[in-house]
Amino acid sequence: MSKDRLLSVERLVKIYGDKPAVRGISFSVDEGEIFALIGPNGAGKTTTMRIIATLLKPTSGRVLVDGHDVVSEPLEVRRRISYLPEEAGAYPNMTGREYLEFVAQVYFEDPGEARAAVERGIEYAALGDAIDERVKTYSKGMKRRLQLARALMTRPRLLLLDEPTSGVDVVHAVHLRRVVKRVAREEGSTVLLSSHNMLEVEYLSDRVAFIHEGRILVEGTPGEVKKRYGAGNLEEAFVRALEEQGLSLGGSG
Amino acid sequence: MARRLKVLVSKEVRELVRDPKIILVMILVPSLMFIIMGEAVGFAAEKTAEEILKGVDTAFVDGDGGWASDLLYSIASSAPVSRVDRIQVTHGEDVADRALELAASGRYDLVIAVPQGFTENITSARPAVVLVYSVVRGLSVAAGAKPEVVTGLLESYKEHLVKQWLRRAFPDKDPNVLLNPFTVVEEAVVKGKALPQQALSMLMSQSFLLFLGPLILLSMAASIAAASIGVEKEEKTLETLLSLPIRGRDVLFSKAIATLIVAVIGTLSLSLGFTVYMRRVLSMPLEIASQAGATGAQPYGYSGGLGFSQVLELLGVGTVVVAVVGVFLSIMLVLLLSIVVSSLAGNVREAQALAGYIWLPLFIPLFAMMFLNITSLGPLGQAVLAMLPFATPLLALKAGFEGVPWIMYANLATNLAYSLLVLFLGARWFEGEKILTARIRARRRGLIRGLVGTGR
Repeated sequence: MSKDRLLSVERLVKIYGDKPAVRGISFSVDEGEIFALIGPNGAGKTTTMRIIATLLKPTSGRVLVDGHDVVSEPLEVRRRISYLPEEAGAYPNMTGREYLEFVAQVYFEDPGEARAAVERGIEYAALGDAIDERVKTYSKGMKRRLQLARALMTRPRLLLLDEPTSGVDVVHAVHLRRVVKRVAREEGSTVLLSSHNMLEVEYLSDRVAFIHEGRILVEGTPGEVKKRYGAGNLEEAFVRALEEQGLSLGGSG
Repeated sequence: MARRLKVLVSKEVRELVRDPKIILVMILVPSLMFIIMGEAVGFAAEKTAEEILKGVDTAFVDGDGGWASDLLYSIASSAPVSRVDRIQVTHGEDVADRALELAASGRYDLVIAVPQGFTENITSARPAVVLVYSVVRGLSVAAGAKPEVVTGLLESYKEHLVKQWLRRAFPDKDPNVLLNPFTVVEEAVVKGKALPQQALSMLMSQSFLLFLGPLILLSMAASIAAASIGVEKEEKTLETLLSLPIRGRDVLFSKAIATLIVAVIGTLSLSLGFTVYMRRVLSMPLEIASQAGATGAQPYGYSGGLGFSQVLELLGVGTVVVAVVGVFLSIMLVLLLSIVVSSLAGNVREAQALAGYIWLPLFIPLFAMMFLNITSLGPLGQAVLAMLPFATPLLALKAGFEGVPWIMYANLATNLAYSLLVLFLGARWFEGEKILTARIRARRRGLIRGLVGTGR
């Protein structure tokens, strides 16, 4: 593999009070790769995403994004990432276009670059005339499309997508997946994705990792993982991975 | 970094001024409230004047028939707003019964009754009685204004009688001078400067505004600040915002700056409404205002106040500067505290409740301060006063007036230290992870629920 490593997670631990959420996980993602974390609620996916997005501090371990440490160089990391939380809203009294403009102005000093980013965002969101309406008039699906467009338009080195199609209907989910795949391929963005949706993961990801109760159970390409567990799909492989470890699916939210 | 701060401030201001709740509750309602109140008071005053100018129907029941009752009748009937019917009472008829009967008939607003022997008592300088029955037809200011006309009439009558006696007793003297042998010219001396006592009394009576003004501004600022962070939580935008390439502290600063801008707009709107109210009330014509005394309004052009230059001279430029800087510091302190504290909330309602709980108790000592002289407190009391948060504006004006400037400088320094401390801690709060996780912990311990009831 000649590609550079863009994300490196080493022995990452996160404990909230006395409750461990992440228990020493390690994985890495190469430049241009789409990597998915698969696991039930409470598995530690969102905590891992938030640590990479510099929002949470790890209890121990190290995370590097493009060579920058998330704890000691958070601003450098934020310049290189774009994070789409599972529950992300936009400002209700702004129009969709104004929201994209606001984010673009934060990322880009050059007005021309900011304008170009907004144009890309408008294209990705595909909201038509609604882009000039206030966000408070948007449906949940429209808000999610706007958020995904916001995350993609800045051409980040690393795109962090937490349940990107959560709450979106089938038609729009297909649209969003296509956009993510196209942008990742065309722009060469690296993507770290978390999802419950195994079809989505299989469609988008180059490599996957099963995560359960803060630990990574297995890691590899979707084909390798399915082959290892003799499963027809990732869902079946996940269940068998749990059984192999003597674990149950009783993760808490 | 300044560019990104500008972008954030612009976003905050736009989001706040487009929020219908903020426009309505913080900007429109306070100003409209005063304008409507002014119109209501003005309308009541005009109605009162109209009622009086329509005329006061008076019955003059005369059981005396002497010169003294004749004089009272002529004064009553010469009043421009009175229509007086003179009713002679026959011998043996009770004056009070007749007067009551006329009052009960509903034909009169006022019944003045002079009993038998009134003139004889007046002439002999013995106590005499005039009976007055005011017919009350309602509980409004306008309804109560008519009967008040009689007070002026009787005062005028008394003066007339006394002057008559004085003329007889001292034919070569001016009865006006005898009645008012000297005029009081009263002035208050403050810091060696003589000021009209009336002006000073007015300044004292209006000193509550020194408390009320900042209170309104600060409560407005706290509420807007809380709404600003509450919206981030409610709409789930904070997580995304904090992941953008900006420093957490810039999020705090931008919210404080934007809230300050909106709070100043709100305060200007409130001041405009208050000015309209005062002009509406004070601009009633002199005769209406004096007749409609029940409104408590001062006639327009009342010269009892102090000009700004006089106030400046009285307090000293240093005091005014400290007061103004103190207002700014107090606002910033309230804003920063409100933003940090309300970040524990999950929505706008919780945020505003939390912000309100935090700063309101701090105003209790300020309220007490309105009734205290700084110099009457001991060293410990003065030291406590010097450390009160938000107190600089009120304290500066009081300290400047009482000649203890050290206390306002000490309070300014203390409040500056408070602001810097909150700024430092607030910046750390916004840079850290607790801003995203604290609510979970607080709710787990029942803190939020305890403070703001239910809510999520």
